[in-house]
Amino acid sequence: MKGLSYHLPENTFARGESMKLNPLHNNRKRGASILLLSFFFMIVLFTLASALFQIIPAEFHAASRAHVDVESHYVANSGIQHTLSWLEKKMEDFSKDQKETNLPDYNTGTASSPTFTNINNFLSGINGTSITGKPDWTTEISIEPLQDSLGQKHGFEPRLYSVRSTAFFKGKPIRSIDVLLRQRTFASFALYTAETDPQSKFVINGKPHIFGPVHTNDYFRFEAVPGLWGNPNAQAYFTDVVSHAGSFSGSPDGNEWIGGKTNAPETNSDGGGYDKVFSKGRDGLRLKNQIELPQSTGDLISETWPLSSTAVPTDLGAHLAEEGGVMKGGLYIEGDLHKLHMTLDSSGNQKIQAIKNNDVVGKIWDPNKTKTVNDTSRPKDRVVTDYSNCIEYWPADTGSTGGVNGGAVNNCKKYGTTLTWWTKQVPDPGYVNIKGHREDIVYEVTEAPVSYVDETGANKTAPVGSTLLIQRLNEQDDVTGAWSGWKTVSTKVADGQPNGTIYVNGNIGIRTDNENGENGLYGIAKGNAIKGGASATSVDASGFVVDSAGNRQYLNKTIVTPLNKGINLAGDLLQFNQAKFDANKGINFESKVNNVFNWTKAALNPGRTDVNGEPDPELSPNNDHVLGLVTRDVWMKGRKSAHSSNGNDGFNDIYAVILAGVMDNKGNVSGGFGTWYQQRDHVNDGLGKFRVIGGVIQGTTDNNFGENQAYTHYWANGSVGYEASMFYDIEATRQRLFPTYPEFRVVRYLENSARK
Amino acid sequence: MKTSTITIRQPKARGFSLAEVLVAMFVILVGISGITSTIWWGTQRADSGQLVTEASNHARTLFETVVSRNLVKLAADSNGGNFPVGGGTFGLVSANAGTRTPVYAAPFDKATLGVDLARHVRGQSTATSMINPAQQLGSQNEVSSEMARFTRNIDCRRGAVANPGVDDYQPELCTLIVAVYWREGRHERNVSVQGVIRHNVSP
Repeated sequence: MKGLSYHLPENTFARGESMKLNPLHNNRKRGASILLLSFFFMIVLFTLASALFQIIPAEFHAASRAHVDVESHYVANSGIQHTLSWLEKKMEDFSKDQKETNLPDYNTGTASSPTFTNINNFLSGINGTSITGKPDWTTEISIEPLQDSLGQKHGFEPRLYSVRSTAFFKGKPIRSIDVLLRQRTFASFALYTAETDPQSKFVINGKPHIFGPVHTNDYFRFEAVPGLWGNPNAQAYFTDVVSHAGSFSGSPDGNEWIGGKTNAPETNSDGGGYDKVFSKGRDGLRLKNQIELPQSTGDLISETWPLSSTAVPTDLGAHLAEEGGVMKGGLYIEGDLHKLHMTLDSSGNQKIQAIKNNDVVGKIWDPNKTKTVNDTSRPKDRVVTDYSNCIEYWPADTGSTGGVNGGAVNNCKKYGTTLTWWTKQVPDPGYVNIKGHREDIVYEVTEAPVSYVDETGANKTAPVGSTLLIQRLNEQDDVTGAWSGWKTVSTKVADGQPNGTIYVNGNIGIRTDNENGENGLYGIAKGNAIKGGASATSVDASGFVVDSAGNRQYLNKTIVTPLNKGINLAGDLLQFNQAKFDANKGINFESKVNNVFNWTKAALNPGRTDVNGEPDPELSPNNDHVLGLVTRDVWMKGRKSAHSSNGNDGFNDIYAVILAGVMDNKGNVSGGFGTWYQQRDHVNDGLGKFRVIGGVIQGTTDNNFGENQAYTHYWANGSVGYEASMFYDIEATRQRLFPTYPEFRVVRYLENSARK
Repeated sequence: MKTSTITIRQPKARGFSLAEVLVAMFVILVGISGITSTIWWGTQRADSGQLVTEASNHARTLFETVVSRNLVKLAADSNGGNFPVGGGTFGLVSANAGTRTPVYAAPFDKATLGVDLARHVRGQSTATSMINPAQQLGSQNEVSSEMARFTRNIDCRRGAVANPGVDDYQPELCTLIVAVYWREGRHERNVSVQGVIRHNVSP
């Protein structure tokens, strides 16, 4: 085979050298190298494939992991739901029988490592089990009760629990939820109504009226004003969640829309009509379980009168729960009151006047007292059985018409056949009642000493930090009717301050049909400053507990009556404002009913408006001075109604969270907030206006206009009743003492990954 | 000038043998097919991941809607207050695990809730929108067709008292199981969320 000739330049290769490339050697390696390249290529591809194998399904893995996280939330939350149900079951049992053994555990404060038997029994059946039914998922729960006193045996103080629930997937922790559970109180609503009257309805007019949560155990009746749905500027009537436990048959949302489906929001396009009723749209209307009103307030007496050495007073009037000259509880008032006037003295001390007019104010020993007995020395007399009219013959000239000879027609007696004894008076020395006016004045001396004259006529001073009780009488001579004038009959000074509870074992405001509504509760409510004890770490110069900023700590007041009594609101009921008071010191706040001029200089301003002139009442900056009222009925008589249709009514302003209602052991509900039936006949001019800044929790509404019922609770709106505005004050939800119900709410929620 | 002549013998001309080429092609083919299948598989898995995410979102939405609207109570009430509640006319649950219902069929439809959940999940407002409808994410038909691939099955099993005096609260709870299904090829896939809720149905 002829070789190819290449002509290369000289010296390309040295003589005798040959080219390194050995074609024969190359030929032998070529088969191997192609395989080597192929394998190299395959390795590259394999590596690439492996990388893609890992990278490409990353989204799937992420999705799966995300779904595990989603599931872990529900598993962990299931532990919280179990805990909530268990606590609520326990509290429900306790509310029925008041047996302490039914309570979930609480710290007693006496043991460094308390054993929570009930909690442990509950957890032993839960922890490590698959409570959602998925075998791979298990739950671990821990519960710590936070209340630390034995004063938990009544239904007024909400209980607190710290709970952690952790979800495990195949034994590995995935997610944990930490919550702080606080028992619910009724101070959680702008408006709660257990049962609504069939004629009671909300007229939805495109303006906000109810500022806060609303609930009924019934269902709601809504009526949209004409043109509402088409009004682009209409605002939601309710600004928060509205819940109902009952359902109106046939309505998609469980409530009655007066006017039929054509006047209901679900018939509007895109469901947008709900936005004109509820600020949260359709989601703002929810079906919830029933919340039952309390059956009694009697268990709060133990908070007001916790004294073991002294029984609850039975003498009329105000009593301080003190022992050995030291305040131990609250203020207990026995009997009905005409007025409970909460005011301030010129220094800013809270002054409370409990007034009862024409009362039995005391008893005296009367050695000359007599009694009536049968006079057995005389024969029995015949009993008068008939007073039928007969004609009187004499005197003949006493009238121009009537009987014979012009005499008047008078009654005459007919005697029956029954015989009775004649009676006579015999000596019977003993106690006799004294009638007159009674006034008990309580000073909570927190700002400046209070000077007073005691029952002996001596001038005395109650120091700052003490509580002063002065009992005064104005007696009336039962023979001449003359009044003795006010005199102090007893005084008492106790070290410390009341604990914020005022229990009135009677009605506040003796309601009569003809009185002008001034009787009852009114004034400015101020919280009770806490006097420092031995364990107090930070106190001011007067001995009151202060926070790190030097601000005094207060216990807000709760006024309670038995749940067969009522409270009449005789005027404005405002909330003390420390900042305003300092700027106006020296003003006499012992003002008359509705003397708003003075009150606005010491209280929050319910008439405040925003820059657009819309109502924007001043809400509580904290819960120091928020007032709670608990009774069966709260009445109001429209004190500021002009009784004309010109809209000149003044506002009746009420800073309080009010519970007016009761449920008996058969589930029947009564009580409510409103006016009484004698005042409902103002069909043309209305009853005036009121603003509640706090909330109303009531048993019933009653709109049965014209029915002659003794008790109704009528508000309606505008022309035929009150024009009402409800402003929910969220600080009221932190009411220290207010009726609770067996539900807990989550006040703190923290969800974390528990992956390690 | 003397020149040198180098004679390079032409080696025997030899290409890659057929066997070599075939082996190389086979190797490359295996590699490419592996890559391709990996990409195809990965793409499928990515699609599955998206579907899992969507189905998980639907399951959560259904779960939260059942809780917030108290639909278990309504379903139980329509069934005489009894559990399981699938026998009622409310249409919430199915006692038969094999039953599949369109994911947002009643009672999760707009007619019942007043809210279009399907559009809600897509991120569109259920209220009257300020956005021009033409600028919204998708038309109602588009949303509906997307939802059509998902079906659901919901059940709620009431708790029972196992230890009287300790877990008497159990009947107040039920375990809500929300499963969302879809088909991938010939296979039915699903995700589910299960959690304990309080149903508020009277004992």
